Formats: sequence, structure tokens, C-alpha cells
Amino acid sequence: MIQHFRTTFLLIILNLIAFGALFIISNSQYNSFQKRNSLNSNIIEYTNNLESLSISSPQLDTEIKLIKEGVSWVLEEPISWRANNFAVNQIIHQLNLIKETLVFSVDEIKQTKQTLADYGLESPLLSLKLEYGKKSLDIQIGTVPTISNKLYLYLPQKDLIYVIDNSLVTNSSFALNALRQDTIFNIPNFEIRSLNIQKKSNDPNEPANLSVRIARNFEMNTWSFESPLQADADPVLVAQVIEELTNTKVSNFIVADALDYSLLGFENPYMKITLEGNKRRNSILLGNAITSIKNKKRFYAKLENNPTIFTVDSTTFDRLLEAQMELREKNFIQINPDLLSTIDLKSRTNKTRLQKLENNQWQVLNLNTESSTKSIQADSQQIETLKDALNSLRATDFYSDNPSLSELETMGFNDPIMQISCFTSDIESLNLMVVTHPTDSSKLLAKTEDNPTVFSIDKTYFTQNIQSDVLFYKNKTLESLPNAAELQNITIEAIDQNKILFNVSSISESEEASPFDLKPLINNLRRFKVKEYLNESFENYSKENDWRFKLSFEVKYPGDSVDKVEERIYYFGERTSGNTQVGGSPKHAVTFLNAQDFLELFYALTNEIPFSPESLNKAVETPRLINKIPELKSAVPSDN
Amino acid sequence: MKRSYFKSIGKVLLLLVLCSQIYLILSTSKNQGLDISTLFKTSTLYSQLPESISVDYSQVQLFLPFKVRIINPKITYKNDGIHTLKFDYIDVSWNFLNRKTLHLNQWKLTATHGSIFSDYYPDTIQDVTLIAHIQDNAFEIEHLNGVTNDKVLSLSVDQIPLSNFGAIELSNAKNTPSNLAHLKKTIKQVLLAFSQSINSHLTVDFELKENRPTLLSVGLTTDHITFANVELNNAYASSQFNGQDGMIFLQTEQIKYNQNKFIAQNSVASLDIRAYSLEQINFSSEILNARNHTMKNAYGTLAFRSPDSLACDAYFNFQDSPTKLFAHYPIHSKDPFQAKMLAYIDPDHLSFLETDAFDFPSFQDSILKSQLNLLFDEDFNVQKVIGKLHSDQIQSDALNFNYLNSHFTYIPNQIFNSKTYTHSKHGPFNINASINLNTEVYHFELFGFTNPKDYNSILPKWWSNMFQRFTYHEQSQSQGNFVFHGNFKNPIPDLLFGSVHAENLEYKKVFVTDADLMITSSNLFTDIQIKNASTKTGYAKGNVQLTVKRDAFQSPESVRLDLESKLELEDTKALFGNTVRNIITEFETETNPTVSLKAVLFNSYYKQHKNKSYYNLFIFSDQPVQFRQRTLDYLYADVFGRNGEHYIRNAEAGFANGQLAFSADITEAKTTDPQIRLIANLQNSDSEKAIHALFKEDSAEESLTENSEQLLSLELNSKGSLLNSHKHIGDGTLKITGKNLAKIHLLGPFSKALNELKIPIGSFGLNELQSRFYIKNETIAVHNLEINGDQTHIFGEGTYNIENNAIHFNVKMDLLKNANLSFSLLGTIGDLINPVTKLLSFKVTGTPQKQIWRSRYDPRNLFD
Repeated sequence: MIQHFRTTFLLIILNLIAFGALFIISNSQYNSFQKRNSLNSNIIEYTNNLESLSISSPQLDTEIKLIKEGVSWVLEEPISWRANNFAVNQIIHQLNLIKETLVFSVDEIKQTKQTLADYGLESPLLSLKLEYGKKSLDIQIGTVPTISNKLYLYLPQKDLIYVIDNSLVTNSSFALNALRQDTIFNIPNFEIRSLNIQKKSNDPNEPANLSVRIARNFEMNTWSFESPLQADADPVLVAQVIEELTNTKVSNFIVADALDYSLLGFENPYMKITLEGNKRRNSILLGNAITSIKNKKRFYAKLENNPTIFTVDSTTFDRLLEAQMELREKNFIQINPDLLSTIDLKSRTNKTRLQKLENNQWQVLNLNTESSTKSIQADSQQIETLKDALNSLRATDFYSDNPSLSELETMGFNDPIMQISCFTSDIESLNLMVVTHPTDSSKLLAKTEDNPTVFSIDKTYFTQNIQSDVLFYKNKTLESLPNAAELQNITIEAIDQNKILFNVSSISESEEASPFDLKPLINNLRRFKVKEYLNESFENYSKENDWRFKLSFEVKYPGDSVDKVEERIYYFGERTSGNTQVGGSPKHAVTFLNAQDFLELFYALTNEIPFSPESLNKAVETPRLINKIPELKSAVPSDN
Repeated sequence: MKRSYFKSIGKVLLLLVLCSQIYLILSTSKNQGLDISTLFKTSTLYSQLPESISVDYSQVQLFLPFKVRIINPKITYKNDGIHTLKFDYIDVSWNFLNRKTLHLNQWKLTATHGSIFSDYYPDTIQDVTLIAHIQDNAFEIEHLNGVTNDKVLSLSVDQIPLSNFGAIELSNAKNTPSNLAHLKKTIKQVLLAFSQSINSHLTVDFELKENRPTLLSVGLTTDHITFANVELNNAYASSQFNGQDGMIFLQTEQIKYNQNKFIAQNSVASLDIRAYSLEQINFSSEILNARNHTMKNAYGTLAFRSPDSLACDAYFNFQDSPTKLFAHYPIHSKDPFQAKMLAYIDPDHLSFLETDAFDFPSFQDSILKSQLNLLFDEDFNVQKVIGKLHSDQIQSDALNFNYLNSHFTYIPNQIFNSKTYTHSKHGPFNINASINLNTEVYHFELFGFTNPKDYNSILPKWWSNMFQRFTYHEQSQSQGNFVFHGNFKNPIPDLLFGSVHAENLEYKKVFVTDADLMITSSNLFTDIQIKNASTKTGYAKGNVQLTVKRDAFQSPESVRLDLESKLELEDTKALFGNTVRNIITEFETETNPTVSLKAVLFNSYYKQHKNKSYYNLFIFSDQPVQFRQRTLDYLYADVFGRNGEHYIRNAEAGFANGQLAFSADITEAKTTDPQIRLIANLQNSDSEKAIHALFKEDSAEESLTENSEQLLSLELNSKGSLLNSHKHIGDGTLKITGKNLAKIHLLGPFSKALNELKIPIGSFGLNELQSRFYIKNETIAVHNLEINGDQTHIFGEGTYNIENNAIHFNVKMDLLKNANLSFSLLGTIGDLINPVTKLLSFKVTGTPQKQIWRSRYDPRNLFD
């Protein structure tokens, strides 16, 4: 058979040999032509997909193993703890930037009868293991530097040794402390959307575990308590707490084996604090307190779902004990003053409505039943003050949370001393009731309809800025003369002395003659503003009080042929204090307190400060001489 | 035949195959591979590639078993730019051995040592490694890696359908042209920034699928990069994009923005991208610097609500104050921008308001909640602040408020206006301030309940001077209303006008139950009107005027007093000061004398006013007044002070039921030994009481007669030490008239002696004593003592020593002289031979209270 197919068989054999040769040659050509990959390429393949990084070094007590969870790194060995992402990324960054200046294979060093030990690679300075999927890459850094202070890097899987600069070692830190996140919470503070505090209560009046939850409203950019009560939280203080919590650092890690776990207090934690972020949350459990050598109070602590035990300084956490009070928002009224259209103020004696007109001016309506409803122009500045005062009302304390109806009645809210309703386009945006404080005369109690809490507020601030009297809101400009009007014959008379204290017949004349700058006075007279109106009419006041000064002037309205002249007279009492001087206008039948500017201008014209001559650098009077008793004349007889 | 035919054919074929193989061996040996370029149709290749991709090569080689190597390939991809990849070779392989079916359109491309030239990137990217797949008409870059200088780029692309390669590009079908253009522009800018960065690594992963948004992941690690006016140092960024939207997570050691206008240290940030545009940045920075302002532990949100405006909602610690800031920052304009700030601040941070004349107090354990509306210029300099401050507890050494609510407007270097409501333990108190920070002109209104001394530490010296005489107690209340204005450059205000109503406080140690004061101060002159100051038993009113000179001397130049009081003497002494105290210090009374004082007192520092100081004091009491333990039944006196000397004129007093009129000059008053020149005239006093008072006899020894029968009159004209009655000289007369003179207290012991002599005094009744005396220091010399009765005449001479109370008298008695039966009537001879006077001649020693009478001859026999 073989005989018959000898040639064929031979050809087949030759073909097989040829094919084998061709295969070997082709394959070896293919392989031999493949260039050796750069170190950078070798490493980047791993760093781009890195899932685990192990670090070992003679300088480390134990191997450090880091694994990637999502975009974050976590320490798996020697403790289970969050890694410092920045430090880990820095290592990876330095690995990516490694550039070799020289490469040679292990075979090549063997040929020169050298070993890995000669390059410090037998027990390397640093060993890194990069892993992804089932692939791993070992990187070893030799202990022996090159002559130019470079390092040898060995890739055992590639059997290649690279000469690299030392940036990897100098720019990265491989110590456990550096790679371990030193803060407790790893949710960025800007991401936090709720803060939960559960605390063990020792107060028999409180539940065994009091839970405080403060949540963020991203749209309104506010924080509010959701438990134990519904109330606004102070955004600054909450932000501060979050900042402090997220910056709280571990004081010490505790080796669990060295402690009796049952003594740490985690079975019935002192406090549990949870920060919630976007689809993630961090919780810390505080166990028993300990006092350190430096007398600093600390707590045993652990993170939920993490076995690692550590201690933390107590300062931040102790502050949270009264979080439900300390973090409350004290500015309990938030209204948009620009949108208000009506404000009703009702006291036991007055009922006043402030109404915004289409021209954005405000008017005051007296709604008292006994008086005919009459609208008067409101003082815009006073209205702004009122709106600002309402928005600025601030609790000095939280008098009562969630009082019952009968408790509210006991406090007097069924007959408040003042009730204020604010409307925005006919929708009530605020209903505030104010009653007297039962124990503190310097305070009042306030409550809004939509807030169950009764707040204490400062009485003075409230009463000085919020009143129900129509006159309080009446336009403070008593008279405003047209620009064309001219003032003349301005006279100030001291009534009781029947003496003219000041007189100018025309402005131009006075400007030349008087050292006194008349412009402010003229401006004040042109636009005569008062500080506040008094309840008494001019007539009634004049019956019981003497006026001290009389200010009169003429207003000349230029006419076509004849100028029209009107007289204005104002009466004033004595200045009785820094900012108090009563004035009266017979024309307007009102009495009032002078506006401060005018008061001081008027005082400058009427004051009679009895300056001492020495204060004016004048000669001082010589006192009247007193004649001495004549000298003793009688000589005492001699003693014989 | 047939079999042989096939056999031959087989042999030929085998031979041909063998030859072919030998050819191939020779060919591959010659060409380092099997050159199949001629077999490789370019059109076939292009038919597999998108139109935008073109490939050039020099040779295509086949290696067994199924490997193709394209030698010197040059792949060009064109979109809005040209991107060229050059390699030494690309290995193309088909991995169909593991497949059940053969798919020639499943290629794997592997290339190393290539380079990339791109219009998107200025430098040549070298050392490029490529692993790519074409599977089922979809292109996938498993790994594209390249290096430029100190930068590394990595790219992976998942699933680009080759049929629609150009259309899908980097995004999805929803992209508008403008968005795409924006994206490409952004990519170019990013790559340009990357090319200029230092030590950086950029990874880009695409996942592109039809009808689904492009998934793009970008990672950047860099030592330094600058992009869009943002400079990052030592930064790590990773991003995830889903179509047009995405998020960038950034961690960096330092961020600098807009030419270092902002510098952030150790920051973490997440950037929200919507429609390829940055919509929001959430950030957290350990330190944030905005020009000169340093904020610590900052975090918050920067939202790009419009292309021109950046809304900031941030929390930070500014000067250790927790602060929230809401701001709208104009990105492109240089317009001022507004910010709203909520902060809990230490009041010490307001110390920038301190001026030379206004010391900002140091607060302890105090916190102010501030709500500020700030206006910043482009360099973050504050242009205007409108704010509110609240506090429930604010305390300095002296100032303690349990409520503070302040509304203020502050324009740096221009104005500071504030309206402040406070509440202290004294009650509510308002402070309205208006300060021109440029001219330093100020205007203050202070009104409410307070202890003015609480403000001593912050207000200029003149304030504390004004209230330094007042002492406040727990129960004190003071309601003041002050307005003052001036210039901080001056030590005192131009004008101060105020009123005070005070209750239960002390003024110069006088307890005032209530008082109303009006205070006016102008031009270094202060007028204090005490409208009515009541004590528990009296009142005071009047004016106090102080003049201060604008010099370094602290005390007032002058004090002018015009006061009237009806106060307890102790209060009067305290109220009217040293001037009056020196005069009335020896007086005591249980009632309130009326005192009127007009005085002008110049400080001796001002020599020009030498001898101009004076006072005129009127004191009147219709009730008994004690003077040196001697009772004056009433007192009326005018006292004048001139040149440091005091003149008592028109003084009248009731003394021992008589009338005492006196005048005195107190000279050398400021020396340690002031002198008094005294003229006194006592008329018709009860002699027993007068003598008792004058000699300070112990009243317990012998009770005084209600109204004695003798009247004493005394004239005194003396001069000597005010403080030492032993140092006087002068003379005077003493006259005592009335019945039973022997019983007068002065002669009590004498009368006792007379009784012991068994001399019937009644028959020798005495009714007049006259004596002239001379005072010389401690000795009062009586040269001519005469005691007369209707019949008897007693006469003698002697001395009285004030210091030791000793008397030395020689007394003779002529029993019948005044009955004209005496030998003395015979004149000198009679005196010589008068046996009575010889017999009744005594030497009196001892003290006025305990006299020892001895006969000049044999006194003991006589008395025994």
C-alpha cells in the first residue's frame, strides 16, 4: 500500500512539512515583528479598568488592599474603612505618568550573571498589584536606586525591568493614614438632604429614643424639622452642623479585640446620627463616653454596617442634644413685602386697614365702628417700616409648641391685643395674633395661624413699629408746597417773652445777611414732615398747654397779575428731650412731634444756651468783693 | 486507469500545493510575511468602512493561521477636522475559530506604536496603542491609548454603527446643530486645554448606540490645567454624560478662577451639565478666597440660571462665623452684584466701626445673627450693606443686652446709618446712629431705659465725665433721651441735648428717689438743669454748668453752680462738694436746711482765671442745728467765698434762747491751719444753757433749769486757728444778769462753797456778773471779775486754761459793799483795812466744774 502511494505520501509529508514550516515561519515572523509594548501601555491597560489595588512594603505593617466601589475607593485591608479617594487617585495618576528611560528583560540580566537582588527587587521597596477582571499586574519598585537616583521597576508577568524616575514614590503616599479617609461621613456636604438624630433620652417626659429629623427643601432652599415637630429650621445653623459633622474626624481607631464589645454601648447607642445624600446615607452610632488623658470627652463610635470601632470628640455631638431647640428658625414670618396688597390691624380699641392702591401708594382706612370710615393717605416710609418689622419679627424663645385650644385661650389668643392680617391679592398670607406675655413684661406672645408654635417676641420692637392707630400710618408730610411757591417773612417768636428770635423777610436777603444756612429750614418748611401725630387736636392741646414758640411765614404763589399770599403758622412747645418737641398746626388742626431734622434746625434758631463767658473765650466777671472784718485792735494786756 | 488518473492528478495537486507552500515560504521569508496586497481589494475595504474614514497602507501581509497585518496604515477620519492615525502596522484578526459560524465581518484590530494627528489636538499623539473591533457592522474601540510629552490619553468607544458613523458622531439624534457645534467647540477647547496641561491623563469612554443617548465617561487627572478661565492644580475629574446631560465630579487641591479672583483649596465639586451647558456646580472647599476675603469650609451651589448670571447659595465660615450667602454674580459684566448673607457673627467683627473717638467694646460669649444685603463691585469689594442684626445675648464688660435688633445701612467710606433696639436689665433702649464715614460727622439718638455708665467703655470720655458722679444700684432706673452730633475728629460733640428721668440712684452719694435732668452741651460747654431731684426727705434743683477747654487738660475749666436744696445736711455736704462741706462740716441737724448756692469755680490750672472763683451760699434752717455739739435753735447765714477765703456775713442763730449774731472770715483756708476772724454777739441767752453749752458741761451731772433766771450776753472779738481753738487771741465781755446769780451754773461750786460757809446767800443775793476777758491761745484771762448783788460785791481775777480746763482765780468778797456798809467805801485805806475782804479772800483752783476753794489765810480752819 505504501508502495503504491509512496510518491503521494511523500508529497503529503512534504506538504505537511512545508505547511508546518510556513506556519512556523509565518507565525514567528508575526510575533517577531510585534514590538514590545511601553511600560505606560502596560500599566494604563490596568489603571483604566482598575478594580483593586494592593500595596505592600517593608515599611507597612500589613498589606493594604483597596477595592473600587463605583467611583469611590474603599480600604478592605487592614481595616474596613473608606479610602481617601484623592490619595488613591494620586497613586494611579503617578502610575499612569510613569515613563521608562530604559528597559531590559530578566533574561538579559541573567546573561550578565546578575539577579533581581542586584536591583533591589528580590524584596522590593514597594509592591503594587493592579487587578481587573481576572487579570492582574504586579509592579515592584526596587530598593536600589540607579546612579542618577532613578528607580528600577519590575513587571514579573512581563519579565521586564524598567528604569523610571522617582516621581511615583515621591509624589504619592502609600501610608495607611494617608490612604484612609480621616473624616467619618463620606457624603459631600452639598449633597446632604437630611439630618437625622436619634438620641437616648434620660428625661422621663421624653420618649426613650427621641428622634429629630431635619430635611432640606431644595426648591425653597430651606431646612425644616419633620420630627419631633413640624417647624422651620435655621438654615445657617443647620449648614453649620452639617459642615461640622462632615468635617468630624476619627480620633482613634480601636482594635476591637482589645475591648469588651458589650461595654462600648452600641447595643443601646447614646446617639445615632444619619446623613442622607443622593441615594446614599451614612450613619454613625455613638456608644459610651470616655474621658481621655487630656480630659477631653470622647465617644466610642462606629458606622452603621461597618465593624470598625473608633472614637470621636464629643463637642459637635453634644451640641446636637438640644437640636430640636437650638436649630429652630427664630424668624417665624416670611412674607414677600412687595406682594402685599392689604394689611388689617386690629387692636382692642382700633381697627385699621392699610390698602395698596393701583398707583402703588397706600391708604389708611379707619374701620372703627364709631368713626365714619375715612381714607387718608398713608406714609409710604411707615408702611415699609411696618412690612419690614413684620418680616423681622424674631422669636426670643419658643413659648409653647402645639398648645391646645384651651391653652391658647388661657394665654389670651381668643382676645389678642393685636391681630394683623396680611393679604396678597385677596389671599391671606399672614394672620398674626399678639397677646401679653404672662410672666415677662418686656415680651409679648405671638402666633401665626399656620404655625402651631407660640413665640415670645420683644415688646418694644413690636410696639414701636407695629400699631393699630390710624395716625401712626398717616402721611407724615403735613404740607408740601409747590416748587413755584416762595417763602417770605419767616418769623420765630418766643411767645412768653414776646420776643422775636428770628426774622427774615425774604430768602435772598437772609442768605446774604445770616450766617445761618437757611436752605435746610426752607426745605423743611416747604415739605413739612412730622415724626408722629398726637391724638389731641390743636385746639384741645392749646387749652391745656402753653405754646413756647410761634413760627410763621408767608407763602407766595406767583400769579398772573397779583401774587397770592397765604400765611402759615406753627406753634411749638419747649424741646423736652433729645428727640421730643411738640408742635401744632392750627390750619391742619393737628398736634405732632417734630421730625428730628426740623427739631434740630428749629432748636438752633431758638435755643438760649447760657454759655459761660469762658466757654466763649470772653472775659470772666470778677466776683463782688466782700469786705473783711477789721483786724483785731484790742491788744491783750500783758500777763503780769 | 481511472484510479491511476486520479492518483496522478492528486500527485500533481500535492506537488502544486507543495510548490505553493515553498513559494509562500520563500515569499514570506523574503517579505517578512505573505504579501496579499494584490489580493486585498481597496474597494472591499471601503465598503466596510464609513465614508468619513479612509485608509491607506503600503502592504497587507498575511500570517498564519489567520492574521492579517496592514503595514504602514494611515487611517484618516474626517468630520469638521481631519484626524489621522498612523501606525507601523495594524494586525487584523478574525476570531472565528471559536465560533460555530464564520463571520468575516467580525474583525479585531490591534496596533501599537502609532501616532495621531488631529485638528482637535495641537500636538502629535505618540506611542499610540489601539485595540478595536468591528463586529456586525459596528465599530468598537476597546482601547486607544497615546502619549504626548507628559500627557496620556485613553479612549474607548463602544458600538458605533458603521452605517451611520458620521451622523451619530458623539451624540444622539436629538442634538440640534447648535448644540453639536457647541459640543465640538467644547471638545476642542478641552483638548486644547489638555494639551497645555501638565502631567495629565485623560480617559474618554463612549458608548454610542442607535436611538439612545450617547453615554460618555471622561476622566482627567492632572497636575495642572487651565480651562475657561479656571485653573486646576492637582485635580481629579470624572464625568458621566448621558446624551446632552451629564455630571462631572471634580476633586482638586486648588482651583483658581478669573485671574485668581477666586481661589479654592482642597475642593470637591459636582458639575451638572444640561444640554452640553454647565447648569449647576455643587462644591465643597476647605478654603475659599474671593479677593481679600477668606472663607473656610465652604460648600454650596453655583447655578447658571442664565448665560450671564451665576446664582450662588453657599455656606462657609467667614472669620469663624457660620455664614450663608445667596448671590447673583454677573459672569461677564463688571456690574456690581448683590448678595444676601445670613451669618452668626461674633460682634467683635464689627470692630471696623471703631474710630479714634469710639472704642468698640470687646464682647464675650456673644453672637449676632446678621441678615445682610450686600452690594459688591467686580473685585468683591463691599459697596453697600443693608443689614439686620439680632441677638438674644450680647455682653461685654459693661454692656449686656438680652435683646438686640439693629437695622443698618453701610456704605464703606461714606455712611453708616443704624436703628438699634436693645433690651437690657434696665429696660428697652434705642440707639439711632448716623455717621458720615468720610467726614466723620456723626449724629446719635439714644433713648430708653439704661444705665448710661454702661456706655462709658465705648463712648468718648465726655460721656463718662457727664455721669461720673452718678451711682446706679439694682433698683435704679434711668430713662434718658439724648441726641448728640459732632465729628469724631473732635473729642466732644458739637451739640448734645438730652433729658434724663432717674429713680433710685445716687448722685455724689446722695440717694435720689427721682430726678429730672436736662442736659445741653455745646462748644465745650455743658449745662445740666436739675429740674427736680427728690430725696427721701428733701429736694434739690438748679443748674450745673461745666466748661471744658479744648486742650490736653482733662478736668473742666470751670464749674458754675446755681443750686437750691432742702436736703439733709449730709446730702447737702455731698451734693455741693468741698466748697460747702468745709463750711458746714461742723453742723448737724435732723431737719433739712435750705441751702442756696451760686458758685463759679475755676480750675487752678487755668491761671487766667486766678481769683475769679467765688461762691455765694445762703443757708437757713428754722429748726435746731448742732454746731460742734452746741445747739443753735435756728440758723441763717450768708457765706461768701472769694479767693479761697470764706466770709460769713449776716449770720444769725438762736443760741441758748438768745440771739447770736456773728460774722467770720476764714482765711488761709487751703493751708493746713486755716484762720478765722470772728465777731460774735450773743444777747439775752439763757445763762445756764449758754454756759453749759460753752463749757460743754456734762448735762447728766446736773439737770438744767428749763428757763434760768439769769441772762447771759457775750461779745467776742477773736482771731485764730479755725481748727484749733487753743490758738486764738482776742477779747470780749461777758455779762450775766438776773436773780439768784449764785445758783448760776458757773458759780455752782462757788455757791456750794458759800453754802458750806454757812453764809446766808439769800441775804447777800447776787444778780449781775460782768467780766472782760482776754483770750490768748489756751488761756482766757479775766482781769476784772465782778459779781454784784444788792448788798454784796464779789470781785476777783484769774485765768481759765482751755486746754486742761484749769482755773486759777483769786476771789474776794465784800458782803456789804453794795449796801454802802463796806470799808471799801473809804477808798484805798478802807480796802487795806477791810477785814471782811481779808477774811473772805479765796484762791480758786481746779476746773470750772470742780472748784477748790481755799482761804488765802487758813482756809482749812475756816471751812472746817
